[in-house]
Amino acid sequence: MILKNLDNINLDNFPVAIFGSGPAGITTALELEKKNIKCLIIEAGGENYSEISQEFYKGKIIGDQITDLSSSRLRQFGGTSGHWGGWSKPMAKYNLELWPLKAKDLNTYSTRTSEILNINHQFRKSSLNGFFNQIEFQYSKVRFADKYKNYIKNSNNILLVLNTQLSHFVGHNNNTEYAVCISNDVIKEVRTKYFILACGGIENSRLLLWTRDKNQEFIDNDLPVGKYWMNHPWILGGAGIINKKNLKKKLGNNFLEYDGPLHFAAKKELVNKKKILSAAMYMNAKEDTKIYKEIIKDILCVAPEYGKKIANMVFKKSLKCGNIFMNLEENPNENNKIVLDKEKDKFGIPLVKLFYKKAQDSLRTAKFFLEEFGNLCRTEDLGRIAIKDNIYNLEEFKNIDVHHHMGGTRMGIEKFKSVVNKDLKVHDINNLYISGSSSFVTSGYTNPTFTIVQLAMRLAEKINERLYV
Amino acid sequence: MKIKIKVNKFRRNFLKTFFSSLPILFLMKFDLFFFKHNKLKLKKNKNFIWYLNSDD
Repeated sequence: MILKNLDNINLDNFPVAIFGSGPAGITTALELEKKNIKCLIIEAGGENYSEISQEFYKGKIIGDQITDLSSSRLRQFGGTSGHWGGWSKPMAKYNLELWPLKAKDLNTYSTRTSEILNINHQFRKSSLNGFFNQIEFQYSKVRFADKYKNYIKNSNNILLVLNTQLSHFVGHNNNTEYAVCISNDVIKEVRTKYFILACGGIENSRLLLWTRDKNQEFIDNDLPVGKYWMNHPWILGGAGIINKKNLKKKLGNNFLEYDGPLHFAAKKELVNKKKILSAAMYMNAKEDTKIYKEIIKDILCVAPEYGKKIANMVFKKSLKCGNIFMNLEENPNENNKIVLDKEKDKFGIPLVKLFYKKAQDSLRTAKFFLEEFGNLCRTEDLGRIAIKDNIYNLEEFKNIDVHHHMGGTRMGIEKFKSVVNKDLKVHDINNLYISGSSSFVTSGYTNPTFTIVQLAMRLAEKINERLYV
Repeated sequence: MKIKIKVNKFRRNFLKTFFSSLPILFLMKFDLFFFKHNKLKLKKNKNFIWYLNSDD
């Protein structure tokens, strides 16, 4: 069922309340429903996009600038899946080494995650050499609100309430008693057994920080709430030519031919040898004739002999020419953090201030990744690669910006370095969970939604165990 | 007689030097044959640094 506000609703029969209706919240609700568990989803925004709703997402960015916080995420039914890019892939195994749960804990949910995202469950990789894999992403077109609106409307177990802002949780003795919500300008108390905060990579921190401000004894001051915030720098790293014929010859039957761009990712061996973070590079999805011509012209200028050699291949479509974009990992840094601002929203909840500085390690990663890849290409005649001079000189990189907000309520074993445990339960609080990319320990290079959905499914299983096992 | 001994000594030295330097010559050729092709050459064009082979 979908309702427009919290008025006149009897919430007694709902053992679980989920705050946020993005991929994390909806996935958990769907999985709970399969287990015949009733749950309430509280969404702050309305059914569709509205500028008034987006105003609540305003925030200040101190340091290196990224896209404005009121436009990089969506406060509406379906959350930020309303404008996400759709690139999906599970995180690489080695990116999860610092996590308290392992790849196999998440892989159990991979097939079902692909079903939810309407993608082929196929993430092949093909070893190019000791340092690189050719990899494959899948592209999801799922907007959670569009896909699940009718399903939720007709569901007896899921009740979605729109236009209802969570303010904070109230609890005592390690137990959350109720959530304070504002619906139709009236303050309401939502009482249930289990509370799941799933409002996104910034909002989760904001609401937990506000909860701590409102009742100090409830959320431990030692928990690093808001800290270790991460992003995925998406940069123009260089340009190049890939000789597809030679690449196919090298990879043989393992060459990944699919409708999409060429993707290559760093193996753990490269990360260890060069002491860099993980990264992936991406080369043009669509043949852009202008860029194609420009790169051929450039190669004829810098390498006339090679240029002549490949010139006749241009028409045979054996070449892939284009800009090289990179997805870079960013290391978790305590000083990249979300704090509460003095300025407040219409409901009196403080807006956020995000302290953010791009990581020098990400810049080094871009350089050494491309340098190694460039050398591989020229020595094995797979093509020729150029690195942008600012990256080659380790000066700076311009973040073209993707909106992958991660960290802030990170997962871990130790209380002083993490906020939630591996089951996403807040340390020392019996019935408060935090779901979404805010719980990521490291960011890897992969787009986060696939992992968010896997974690949300696992959470549903953990709630089920606590309710019935 | 003295001249004959000198010529023999010269010939011996020449042959000794010639044969002892052969492996070095061989190695030099080997080196040129295999590594020159893959030698890195960096070249800047506009804002890009190209990773090229020396014979590109």
